[in-house]
Amino acid sequence: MLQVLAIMAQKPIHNDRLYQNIVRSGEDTSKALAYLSYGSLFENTQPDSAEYYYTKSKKLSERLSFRRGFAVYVSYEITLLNNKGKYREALELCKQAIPIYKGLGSEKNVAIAYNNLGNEYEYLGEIRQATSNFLSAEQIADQIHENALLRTFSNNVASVFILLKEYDKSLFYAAKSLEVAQFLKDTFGIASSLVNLALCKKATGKYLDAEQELKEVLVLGRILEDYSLELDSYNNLGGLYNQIKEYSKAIEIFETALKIAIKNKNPGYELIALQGLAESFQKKGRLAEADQQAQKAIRIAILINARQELDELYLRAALIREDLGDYKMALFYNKEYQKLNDTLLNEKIRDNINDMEVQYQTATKDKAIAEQSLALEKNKIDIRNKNMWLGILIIGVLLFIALTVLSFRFYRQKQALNQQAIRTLENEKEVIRLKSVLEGKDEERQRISKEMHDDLGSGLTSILYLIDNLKEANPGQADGISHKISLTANALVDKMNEIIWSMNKGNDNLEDLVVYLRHSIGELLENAKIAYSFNIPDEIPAVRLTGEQRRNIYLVVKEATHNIMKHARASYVTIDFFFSNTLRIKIHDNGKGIDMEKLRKFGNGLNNMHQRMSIIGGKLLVQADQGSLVDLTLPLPV
Amino acid sequence: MEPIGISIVEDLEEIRTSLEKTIREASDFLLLSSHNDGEQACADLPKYSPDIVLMDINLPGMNGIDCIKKIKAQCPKTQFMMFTIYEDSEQVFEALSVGANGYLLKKTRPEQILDALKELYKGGAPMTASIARRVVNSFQKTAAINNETAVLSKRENEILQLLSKGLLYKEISQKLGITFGTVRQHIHNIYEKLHVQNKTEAINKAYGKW
Repeated sequence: MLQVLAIMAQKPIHNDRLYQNIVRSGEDTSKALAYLSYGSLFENTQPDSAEYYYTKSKKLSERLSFRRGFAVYVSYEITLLNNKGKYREALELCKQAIPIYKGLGSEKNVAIAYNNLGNEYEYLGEIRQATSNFLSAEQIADQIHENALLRTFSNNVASVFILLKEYDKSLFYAAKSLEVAQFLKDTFGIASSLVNLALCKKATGKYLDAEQELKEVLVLGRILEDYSLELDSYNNLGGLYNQIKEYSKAIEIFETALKIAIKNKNPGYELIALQGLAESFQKKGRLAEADQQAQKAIRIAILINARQELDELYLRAALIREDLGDYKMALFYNKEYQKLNDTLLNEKIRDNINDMEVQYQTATKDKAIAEQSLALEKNKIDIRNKNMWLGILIIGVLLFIALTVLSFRFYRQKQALNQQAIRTLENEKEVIRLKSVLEGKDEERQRISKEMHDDLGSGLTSILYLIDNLKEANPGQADGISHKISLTANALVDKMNEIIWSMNKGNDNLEDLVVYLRHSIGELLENAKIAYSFNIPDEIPAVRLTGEQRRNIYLVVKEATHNIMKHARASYVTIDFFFSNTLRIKIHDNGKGIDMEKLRKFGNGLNNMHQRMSIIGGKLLVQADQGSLVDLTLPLPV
Repeated sequence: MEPIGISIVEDLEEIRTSLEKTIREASDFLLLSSHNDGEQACADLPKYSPDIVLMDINLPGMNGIDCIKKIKAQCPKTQFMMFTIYEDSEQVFEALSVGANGYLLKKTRPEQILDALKELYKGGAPMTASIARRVVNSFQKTAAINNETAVLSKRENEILQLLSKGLLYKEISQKLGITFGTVRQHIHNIYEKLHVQNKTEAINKAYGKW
């Protein structure tokens, strides 16, 4: 009979449809996961049932060699173990989850697993180990921009640094947590960050700040109807008042806290409130009341195995009894205090040895703190930027690309220089050749920076001016100005597209240029509803062209096309390509021809075209020819 | 006609809200969801099963390309339209290889965005000369390795060759004596074959409770 009962307890019967579905599904990985989510339904009410399903999941995952399933199982199982106070076992499980998630490349889960491990260490009082793991979690969350996780983890780091009495570091992380929480509009996060901030300030003597922050926490706790926040606030406020010798205030606060803790059946908070009350009464000379609270506190501390608190309470009880003249009990408490204190001290020494290793790791991470601070600063700017103008955003993007391009050029030039140094030893001739290459590269660099300067610089500046105008414009003008901004930004993006194309090493031969011309000029004419034809020989010589050559040819042909669209009133355009030892492009339209007189007066665009062709060693001819003809030639390398 | 269900994945708030507005105000469209990061989008998109996802490439964390890789198999009916600043980019081609069906430049005006989305919905797809050249290369490479992978039909090959020479859709349709829409449909099929060819390994869905 007893045996049967035992089996019944092990194998809970849940005859609902959800479970039936799980049972019916095949023995695969999704079943392993389904067991977990099903088991979690019983986590709080029937932990044994939860345990039963979790174990089933674990076994199935093991059978299937389903590593991720096991890792997920860990995250469920540790909740049960923590509820039972089996922190050491939970800790061992957490350690196993980390390499699994690392192997799966799931950084977010790695971070969570580190945090879970940190929690277990903290429960076990191994604070240095906890710190090290929380820091790992925090750094990963920061790197992968998981803000909600980052918020929690930063605050965890702040909490353990307080326990280690490293208040400046704690302050840094608490502030970071607060910042992220505010960004996320996470009220609970704001409140718990404030608690840590306040604790740091209290410990470093900034009592007014601490008081202010704790009161804010109280307000937030009430808004959220979260009694633990309220109690955090009350207990710490009470402690603060004790510290600055405002005992009456402290008593009032602790008594309120005590009521809330009892109402919510939370012995941990109750203990802290009682402890605080004992101190306040003792300092005020109300010894009988102090003794009464201390006794209650000792009972709870024993019950929940809060040894550090118990240690302090024994000492306090000894002092109170001494003042009351009860030397026998004073001696008794003193002995208990000594005994427990020795035990704790011994454990501490043992832990310290463990810590040496961890401290080394932490020291390395301390360095990272400074870097993180920078990163946080950058984050702030990012966030602000996001709220700014689209125009400004485009400017940012363009400038970044410009910088990248320039630094890439610098890098390439530097590389070439290194090469040169080696070859100088080998061959003088080679040096001369390389020098000319370098000069070419330098020219290329200057050309690009000039283009950036001319094209992008002027465009960006006009956008800036337009935005300034916009700020002061009335609604009537605003439309026109925003239209201009949009046109300018559009033209800038086009220019960037062209520059990127001309610099792309994958586009460096003649055929690429021809294809690009054909497509983009075709599109221009198509949009202008002008009929056109391209005549391109099938064989295009395999010749390399520099970015400068490609870009200038493209710009000249584009300019010629624009002129036709703007001025010629043409209905038909032919574009003929000829390849021999030169590249020749003839653009012919059937429009009204060219007014040579006008051209000389306003011929800025034409001058530009001539200049572009001569820069790359080519020639340009423009003439009237039943319409107009633009004829350009460029000698090709052999 | 049933409205076209659209989801947006774009991290820049200004662009995202303006896109949302465009879609919301258009009569033939229905805005299903809008996301500002890739991971979240991956988790949520299969639930909405949109007709078209307008997907930014450069997202913080998981980028648009990885996002498509991850959920393409889970959303067989969904088409992905990449949303990009620059046309001549390796990334655009990569996105098209892993499952995108088209791309749109960010500077495109709202009404043209709507046109392009409708076009894609009807089975058309855009392709520039430089993308066409990369596609040609990609098919040549795999043809050399494996004969069993998706192979282009004669007509598709023809169109791809013309495109890679810089001809516009309209010119191609005139040259081959087919309609504009047919050209687009062929391009659409070419993309589909490109996806098959670049099929990624089974999806490894991230899971986890914390």
